[in-house]
Amino acid sequence: MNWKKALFDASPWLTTIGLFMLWEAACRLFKIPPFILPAPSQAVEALIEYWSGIWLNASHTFVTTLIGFAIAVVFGVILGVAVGASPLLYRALNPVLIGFNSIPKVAVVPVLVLWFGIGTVPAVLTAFLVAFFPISVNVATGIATMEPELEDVLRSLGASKLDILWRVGLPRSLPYFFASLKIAITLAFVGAVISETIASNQGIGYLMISASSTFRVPLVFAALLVIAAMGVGMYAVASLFERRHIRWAIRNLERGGFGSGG
Amino acid sequence: MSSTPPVASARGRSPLVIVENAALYYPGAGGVLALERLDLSINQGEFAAMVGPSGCGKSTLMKLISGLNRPTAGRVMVGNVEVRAPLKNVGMAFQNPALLPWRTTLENLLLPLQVVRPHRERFRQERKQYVEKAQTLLAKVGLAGVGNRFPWELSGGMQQRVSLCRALIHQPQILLLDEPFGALDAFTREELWDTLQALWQEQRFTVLLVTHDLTEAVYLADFAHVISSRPGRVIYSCRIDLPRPRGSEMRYTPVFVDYVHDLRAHIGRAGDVP
Repeated sequence: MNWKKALFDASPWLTTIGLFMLWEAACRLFKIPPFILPAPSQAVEALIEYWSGIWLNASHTFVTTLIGFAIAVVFGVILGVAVGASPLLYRALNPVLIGFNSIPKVAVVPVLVLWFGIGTVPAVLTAFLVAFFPISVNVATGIATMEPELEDVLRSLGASKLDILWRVGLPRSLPYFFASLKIAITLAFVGAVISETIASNQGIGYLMISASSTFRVPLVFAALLVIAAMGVGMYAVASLFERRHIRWAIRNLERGGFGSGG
Repeated sequence: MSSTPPVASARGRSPLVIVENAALYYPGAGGVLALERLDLSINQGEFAAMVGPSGCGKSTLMKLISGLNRPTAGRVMVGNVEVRAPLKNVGMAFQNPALLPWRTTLENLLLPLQVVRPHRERFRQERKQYVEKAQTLLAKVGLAGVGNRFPWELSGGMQQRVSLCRALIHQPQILLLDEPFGALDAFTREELWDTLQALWQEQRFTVLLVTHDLTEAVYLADFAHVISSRPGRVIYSCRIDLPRPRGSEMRYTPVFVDYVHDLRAHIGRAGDVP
């Protein structure tokens, strides 16, 4: 029985390592030239060789992402609470929000560049624009799906709308909020990188574009690996945050035994 | 604990709730007339039960009395004042216990005290007394020691007990119960009947219990009212003259069974049988 648990725990590492081994083997077996598809070993070589440049650009992207994400959290929560608590606002804003979210953000980057010039500002704004939507939608859903019985109970105790929001709406939307953070952080990252590939002279996206224009394909893949690793890392941090704050909502995942919360 | 409402003598109590000629029309596509020409009176400290076919507007009536809905016609009086806005001191419990999963059982019980005036202003200073009060109430319904558990760690029957306690902790003007035992298994339900009866005998709050279980109505209530199918109207009221405390054996006595049959006959007349 124990090896099953060991397999379960090791499975994410096994799939990742397996994937890389498959990739490496395919490149060697079919003698794929490195300027088409470099083997992971070549990508890692490039990673080590250009480490200082990669580090500089990656940390720049990281900061850009975090700023955009932070703005998205603030704005997303405010909008989500407003829309979730007021059916009128929900109805009024819904089509605009859906329409806005349907616009590919790649198409917005040139406009942002027009307004703010090339560089960090468009990247921050793109990260923000892609990331706020899932946060708003989730927070609004958490508030709007309150049990009607609970609302009746509170209203017949003389509770104001603000009381109900504070005592029930907001706490109940927390699991939705934390779930959306995991999505939003990766989206913010993607947004920042997209903007950098289009219009920037800094960041991991810019590094990729300049490397590919000089056919340093292993460096492109090294950058991709860094992007993936950073994405996984940020997701993990968001998950950790979630587990810490809303144990009651994810009890199904980790319920050890009956009555463990006493 | 000293502020329990004055208990009037058993006879000649004053009516606390009066519903006069009330109608409620839900507008909208194919609007529904839920209640019509409904008259009802519940005395201070009385245990009233509402029975009727499903969809007869029993729950709607509860919303009228608590002021969550306004009647389309007629009027609702509570304590000699016409109800024009939600009452501010009602206890409610439903089939769904609707507890807050992020709060422990104890914190769930404290919720009404954080909302209802004048408790909310005193909550910080007097938290200790309130916690004691909640613990006492929990002990009374057989839940001593579970205060620190979360609701999702409790069984359905335990959750419903907590829900009942939450509806009572602030000593409400009226307790409104909407099929609170409907989703429980038969044994748990009977246990909770006795719990509720014991609490009521001790505190003599005014209760309106909505149910479709005739045995439940006869076992618990002083008065049982039968509501017709839509549009709902009180078509029969019956005083249940059985001594208290009522015990489970009583449910098999001829007098008890006669009451149940009597109610059943009137529901049969009320239209579509559930």
